[in-house]
Amino acid sequence: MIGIKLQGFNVIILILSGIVIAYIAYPLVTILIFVEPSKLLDSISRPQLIDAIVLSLASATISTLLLSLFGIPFAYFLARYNNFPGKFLLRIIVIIPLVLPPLASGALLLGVFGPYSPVVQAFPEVEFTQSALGVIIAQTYVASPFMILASQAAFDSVDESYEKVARVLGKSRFDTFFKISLPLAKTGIVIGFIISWVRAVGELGATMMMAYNPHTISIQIFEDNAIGGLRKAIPDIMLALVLSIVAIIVFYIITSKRRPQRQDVTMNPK
Amino acid sequence: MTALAFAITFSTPINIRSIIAKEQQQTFPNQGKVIVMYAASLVKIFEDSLKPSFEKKTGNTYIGEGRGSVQIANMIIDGQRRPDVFVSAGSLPIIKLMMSSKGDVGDGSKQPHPFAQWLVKFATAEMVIGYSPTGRFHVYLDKAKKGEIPWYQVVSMPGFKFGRTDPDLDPKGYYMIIASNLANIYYNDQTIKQKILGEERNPKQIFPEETLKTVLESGQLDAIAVYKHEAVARGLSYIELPSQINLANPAFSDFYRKASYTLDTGQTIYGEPIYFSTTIPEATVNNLDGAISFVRFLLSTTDGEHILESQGLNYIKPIVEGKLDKVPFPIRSIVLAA
Repeated sequence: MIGIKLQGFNVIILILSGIVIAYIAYPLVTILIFVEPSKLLDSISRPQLIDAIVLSLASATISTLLLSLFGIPFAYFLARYNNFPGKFLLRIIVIIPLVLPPLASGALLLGVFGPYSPVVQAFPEVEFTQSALGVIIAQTYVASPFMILASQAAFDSVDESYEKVARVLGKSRFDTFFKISLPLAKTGIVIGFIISWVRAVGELGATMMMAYNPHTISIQIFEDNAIGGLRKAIPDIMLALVLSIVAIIVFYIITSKRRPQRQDVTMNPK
Repeated sequence: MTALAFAITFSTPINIRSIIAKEQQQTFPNQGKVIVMYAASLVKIFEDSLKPSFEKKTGNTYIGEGRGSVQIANMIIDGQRRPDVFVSAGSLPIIKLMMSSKGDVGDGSKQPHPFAQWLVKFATAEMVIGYSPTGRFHVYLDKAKKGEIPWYQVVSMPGFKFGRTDPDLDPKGYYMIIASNLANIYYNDQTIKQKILGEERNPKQIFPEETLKTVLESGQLDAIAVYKHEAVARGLSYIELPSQINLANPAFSDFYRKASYTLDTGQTIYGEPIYFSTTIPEATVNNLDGAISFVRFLLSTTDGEHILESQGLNYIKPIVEGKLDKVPFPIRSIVLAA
């Protein structure tokens, strides 16, 4: 009886999984319909497209690094110091960039960084909008919830008693954070890093408002679609797909080599 | 550390200067960036043809963004964009800039400082019905193109999906509504507009300008309201409309005025010939030399006219509206010499 039930369960799981995979992968067939192989090499080696790819990859990396620098400590704060009035409000604020339509985020960011705002008046030589900096500002804003929430979940899953033991043994808060908390939370944080990076590369709406030029790859695809439809945009899409997948694979390889084995904290008196 | 290595590998090609520093226009006055915002219907012509020619001839760097002209005017007024040049479909978006002010001129006189003070009309555009040569109703549309059946009958067939742009963002959107009003008068049939458009802001028909042609090509629409030059640039078939309703012929200006559309903002737009116009918005221009260079290029017979006419835009003898004395001399001289 149990054997038959398990089989039925497996079949259902497989069918549902198959539908999901088909739903995600099938649209890629459109690429095969519209691609023009004879023009492909010329299309993907256009300087404009290369510039757009480089800008997207580099700006997404910088944005994600910024998010790591600020977001990981903030996530630790949310995970550990959560007995104060207003903590619920904080958690709501964190998901605002996730909930807001990206165009709306972009419009609001323009209010902060537009030419007539106090921030910009204070630094007149800096181009906050319609520049690579504008791209980074937009990407950082929209990708922030991913980094913060993933890191917070990672810290939540770290057993606090390890940290307490370290403190009892005389390690400073800094030492405890860098040598105990962070390594134990590393898997979740790495996932947060990757998701944030991917979100930043794919960002369009907020970037359209903050920095239509220089073109990120998303905007280049948008413009090429406006100019010549799918036929013109397909090479861009193919290149973006291939490079993003390569970048993520590379990143996974690099980080999985360094991922520490989950081992007991050694008691090493100073 | 690995993340840092990752970042450095990908960041190296990016010039850090380009991230934060303004272009050194003082040091290289002829090689600055020229930021041009233009009517999105010109996107292919501007990006594929005008940009390389302009950059090659003048040494300037062209930075372009195409959007609905009304939307561009709104973005300038809201402080979201500060272009050097604005090329608009129809003159009304620029007139809106001329009538909106950014504070005052700052000389103690409390005089309002308008965003723009002049415009040059340099070409006319024509409304047509664009369609894909292999689309669902193309047999009927081909017949309408040849004049065998009325175009409005095909467009109002059961199941026919017609597309156009948002009349509150894009002049083409309100021009189609106005043309439909004119069709009622011209064909002496008050039902035509309702049959082809449904309500004025019909959500089933309205699409963003940047994606309208792609939506047609994917088969989700059977015909769209476009300018002739867009249809030519994109390789679409198109049905020409009578001069009395296609908004292309200044000789019919009085007839065009019989129809109108009222924007969300309350402003009423009356039918008029569609004049593509350009200005250098005084309140936002950063690189005046570059802007003048671009406008001269756009207006010149051998450059702009040559490129744009090959795509179906009809150049006219330039007409200035607004304050002629505020038009920069190098542009005034082209206009007056034409």
